[in-house]
Amino acid sequence: MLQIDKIAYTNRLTKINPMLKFVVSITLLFTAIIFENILFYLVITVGIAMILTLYAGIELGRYIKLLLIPSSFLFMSIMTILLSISSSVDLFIYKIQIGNIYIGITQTSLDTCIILLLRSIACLSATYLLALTLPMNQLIRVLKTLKMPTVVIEMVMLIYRFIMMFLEEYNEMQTALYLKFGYGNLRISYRSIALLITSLFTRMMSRYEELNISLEVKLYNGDFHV
Amino acid sequence: MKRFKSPIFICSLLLLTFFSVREVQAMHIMEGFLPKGWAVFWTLITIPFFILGIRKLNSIFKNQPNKKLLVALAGAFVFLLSALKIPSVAGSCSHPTGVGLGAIMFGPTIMTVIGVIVLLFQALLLAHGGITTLGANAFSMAVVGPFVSFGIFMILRKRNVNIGVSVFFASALGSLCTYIVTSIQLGLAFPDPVGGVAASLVKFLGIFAITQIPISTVEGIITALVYDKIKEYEGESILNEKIN
Repeated sequence: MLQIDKIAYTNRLTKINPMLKFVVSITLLFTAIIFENILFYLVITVGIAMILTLYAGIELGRYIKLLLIPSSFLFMSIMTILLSISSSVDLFIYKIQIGNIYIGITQTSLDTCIILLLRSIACLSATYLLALTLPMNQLIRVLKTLKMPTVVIEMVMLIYRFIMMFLEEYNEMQTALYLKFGYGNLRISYRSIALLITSLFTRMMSRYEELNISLEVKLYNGDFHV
Repeated sequence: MKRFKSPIFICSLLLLTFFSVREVQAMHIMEGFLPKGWAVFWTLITIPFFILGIRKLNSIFKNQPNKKLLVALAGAFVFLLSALKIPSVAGSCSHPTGVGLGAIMFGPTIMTVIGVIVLLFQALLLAHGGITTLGANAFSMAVVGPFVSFGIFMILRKRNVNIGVSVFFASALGSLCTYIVTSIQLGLAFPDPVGGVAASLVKFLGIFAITQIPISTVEGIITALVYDKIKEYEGESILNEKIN
């Protein structure tokens, strides 16, 4: 089972009204995007961390690990924004010289980066407030209240169901490949991955046929009643 | 002394950047990273494609309700592919966007709907991508990627290029275009204070697109292998009448 999903079903806030949780986290998310205010970002980040650790009962270490998931993307993009290249020297507050050009940090990019970093973390916290307390069955109820097209809701439900169904199988195949040195070198690992994807696909096709039969037995006429 | 210190500092930062590539997942723009204007802009661009996809799905489902399961399976398949780690050059890891395979088999507009739902799940279940950046990520991964893959596949097939080669180019270029669009989105949103949008585009393309060339190539190779195997198992007929 996926970690975030597991927490969503087992924390102490699971039983609260789903619409309330949804509205609160989405409101926080959008206010964080709309208003650029460093203090506000910090309040959101700390506040949500407190809600999730104190009220929902998620261990702090685990939550921090979750927050660090996108850190590599964050780090690379922040570095990209932070550093600029120019031939004039007076723009930079911190620089190094390579030949005729300078690579350095300007005041504007530094300001952008600080806001960006804090905003990303605040928004990530708001998303976690949603993802960690709202299990998928409640999300589907929320989507229904929001009058999303039926076909989208059905797809969300079915895709979620199939992900969970095949995740286990997928993990077992992955372990089997590791045990057989399937990732021993680059050439073999490409072949292993191709094999894994293919057997996953064939398993899915056979499951699809079985499901069709079982649905027909239940007089399926094209509607899933969600 | 100070002049000596700064290069070391920058060099170590650069080294860190290179080492951090090891852990990089496919480049979905993370939650809250884009300013509000751009987030809204990319969402608005994606919506028409999404509606088109829903219409297509509805018309398919009306005649063949059984296909609902098949489309959902394709979505789960794309999600699982995105959990897969592929070793690439220099010890870095990536995972396939998976949409190339889907676009070839199911058609691009359907992949838009599936892609959006998969991105939503990635944001909620894997903390990968985000809700506010859903529009931007969907545009690169669920609109541009599939359409490029599908277009290239069709063109190459019409010219009677070998099927493996066409699958390779379709998925590799589709995946590369996804990354290029992501870099363009980032470059436009964060113009360089010195060189403007052009400089920031160059920077982001350099870091997020050039480094992805080997990874896209790998995805192309693997997709071609998978396509070949699927054909072997299922016979070619099932691929052509999949959904349409």
